[in-house]
Amino acid sequence: MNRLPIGWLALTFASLCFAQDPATPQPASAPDDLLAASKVKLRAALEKTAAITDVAYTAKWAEDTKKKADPNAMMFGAPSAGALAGSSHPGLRTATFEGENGDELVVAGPRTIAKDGNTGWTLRAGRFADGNAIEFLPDPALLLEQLAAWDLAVVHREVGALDDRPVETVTVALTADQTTQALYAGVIPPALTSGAFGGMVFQMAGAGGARAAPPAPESTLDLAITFDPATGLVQQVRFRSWTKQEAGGRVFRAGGGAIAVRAVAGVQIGGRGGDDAEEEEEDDEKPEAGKAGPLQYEGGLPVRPRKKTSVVDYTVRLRDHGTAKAPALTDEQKKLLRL
Amino acid sequence: MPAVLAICVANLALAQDASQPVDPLVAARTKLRTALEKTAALPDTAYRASWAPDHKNQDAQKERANLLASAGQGKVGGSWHAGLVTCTFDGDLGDELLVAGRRTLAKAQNEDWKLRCGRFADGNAVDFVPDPELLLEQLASWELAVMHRDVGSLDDHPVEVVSVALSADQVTAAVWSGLVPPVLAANTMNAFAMLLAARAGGQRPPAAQPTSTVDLAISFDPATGLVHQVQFRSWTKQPDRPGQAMVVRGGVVQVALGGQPGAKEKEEQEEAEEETRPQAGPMQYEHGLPVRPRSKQSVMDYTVRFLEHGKKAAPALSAAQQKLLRL
Repeated sequence: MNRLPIGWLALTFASLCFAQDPATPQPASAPDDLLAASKVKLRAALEKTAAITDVAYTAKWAEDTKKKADPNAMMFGAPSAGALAGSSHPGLRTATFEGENGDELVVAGPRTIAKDGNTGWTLRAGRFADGNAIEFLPDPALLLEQLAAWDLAVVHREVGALDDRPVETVTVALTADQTTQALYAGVIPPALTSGAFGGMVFQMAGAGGARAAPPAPESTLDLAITFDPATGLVQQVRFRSWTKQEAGGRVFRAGGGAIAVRAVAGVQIGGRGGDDAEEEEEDDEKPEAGKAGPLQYEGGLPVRPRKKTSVVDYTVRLRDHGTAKAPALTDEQKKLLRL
Repeated sequence: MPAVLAICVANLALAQDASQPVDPLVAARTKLRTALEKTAALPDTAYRASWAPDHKNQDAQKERANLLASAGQGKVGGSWHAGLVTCTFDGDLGDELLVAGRRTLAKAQNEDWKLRCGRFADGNAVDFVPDPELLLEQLASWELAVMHRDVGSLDDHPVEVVSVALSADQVTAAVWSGLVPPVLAANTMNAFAMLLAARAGGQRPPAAQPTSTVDLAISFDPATGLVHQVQFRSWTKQPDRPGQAMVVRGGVVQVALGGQPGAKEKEEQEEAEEETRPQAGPMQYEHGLPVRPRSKQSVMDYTVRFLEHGKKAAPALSAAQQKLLRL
C-alpha cells in the first residue's frame, strides 16, 4: 500500500486532469474538425429529411423583442407575425393558421383552396378565404431542399435536448446571397428581412420610369438547425434576423418587394421617439452582449447586441417524419384542386 | 275523319314548335359553355395576355392611369401544357417565368434560371401571372349571364362574340382566385384606412370585396367550338378627390399624387358633356363589350388571346430547370 507503482500514479494524475475538464471554461466555438464533422452530418440530415414525404410541421414567425409598446409602431402595426401547423405530402400541403379566423389552406400543385370560420372551401390564389392576402406560406420541403443545396458556413455546434430528445444543434451564418435567395425563393417570411413595416412599403408614383431592382436585404440572418444524431433527421430549423433600424428608429428595408420612396412630398412616416430611453432600455438587456470576447450562443443562435436592431424569429418544427397522414380530401376539395 | 283531323292538328302543332325560333342568347350560352369546356381541356395551347387602363382622351384619367402605369399594366405571351405554364413578359428586362406545380422559376435577360416565389428574377414582386387554363375552367363552371351576342371576325377567323355580365360574387371570385389581375377590380374604400385598420392589432377584418362592374366578351369559333379570346373590361368609380389614387399590390402601397391645375374643371366639363348626350335606348356594344358612360370611371381591360390550340409544343427543359423544378 505504501509503495504505489509509478503507472498507477500516472493514471491517477491523468484522471485528475480529465476530472478538471468540465470545470474549465469551454471555448465558445468547437474546434474546426468538430465543425467540419458537423457540417457533413448536417448536410446528410438535411438531404435525408428533405427526401422524406409525409411530414408534419409547425411554423411560427414573429418579432423577438422585449421593448415596451411604441405608439408609432402600434399605429403601423408590429412586424407581421404568423403561426400555423400543417403537413407536407407528395403533391399536397396543408396549413392551419392559429387565430380566430380559423384559416385553413390546402395546396396541390399550382392550385390553392382556402377555408375559414365563415367560408367553406373555395379556390384562392395567394389569399385567405376572406380575400386577405397571404403574406407567407411555409414550405418545409422547399426549405430543407434549399438548405441542403447550399454550402453552409457552420460556425458553432452544441448538443442539447428538444422535447426530451438528445439533439445536436448546428449554427450557420448565412451569406448575403443566401439570405437574398432565401427571401426571393419563399424559403423565409418577408418579415424576416423587412422590419417594422412588415414588408409594407410605400411607393409614391409620379416619376414613372423603368422598374428598378429592389435593394438586396441587408439583414444579418443566423440559422440554427437541430437534428437527431441517432436518426439523422432534422427536427427544427430556426432563423433569427437582425435588421439595423434607420434614424428615428424606423426600419425601411427591402423584403416584401420593391421599395421605392419617390417624390415623397408632405408625407411623414412616424419615427420612434425617445431614442435615449430606448438605448438605455436595450443597454440594460444584455450587459455583456456585443462586448469583446467570443460570440456567445443561446439555443444555437448567436447573442448579438440589440441596440437599434429589429430582431425577428422564424422557427419550423418538424414532426412525424414519414408517418404524417395526408388528409382525406372530399370530392368538393378534389374538384376545386382538379385532383 | 275525326282521327285524321286530330293528326292534322297535331302535325300543325309540331310544325309550329319546330319553326319557333330558339332564343339566340340561350343558344349562345349553351355553345359558349361547350366551347369553354372544350378549350379548357386542351393543353399545349399558346396565349397572349395584356392588361392596361383603357382611356379615351380623358386627360385627367389618362394622367392618373399613367401615374399608376407600372402597377396597372402588363403584357405577356406563353403557353400551357400538362403541369407546366410558360410566361414571357414584354419589356426590356426579358422576364420569363416557368411554373410547374408549386415551383416557379424566373429568368431575366442574360441570366440563369432562379427559383422564385411570386417574384421576378431580380426580386421584384410579380403582381399577376395569367393562368389561361384556370380562367377557362372557372368560366366554364359558372352560370354566366349572357346579355348579348354578335358575329364578327378575329384575325380572319369568323367568330361568335358573347357578352356576359359578371355578378358581384363572380367578380370577387375572379379576383381572389387569380383569374384576372387584381388591378382590374378595385374597391373604392380607402386602402390606407383599411391598411391601418388591419394592422392596428385586433382581429383581421375581411378584405373588402371589389366594387367594380366587370363586363366580359368571349369570342369563339362556331366551326371548331374553340375559344379564341376572352376580354374583360372593368369599370371602377373613381375616388371623390380627383388626382389621387392608392392601390395596394404585392404588399406595396402605391400612391399616385397627380392632377394638373384645371384638370378637375376639364373633367367636370367632359362629364357634363357626356351627361347631355342621349343615354336612353338599348345598351350599345363595341366588340362585344357594352358602351358605358366613362365619366368618373376608371376603365381597365384584360384580354387573353388563345392560339395554336392543342398544337403548341412544350419547351424542352434543361437539366438545371428540371432540377430546380424537381421534375
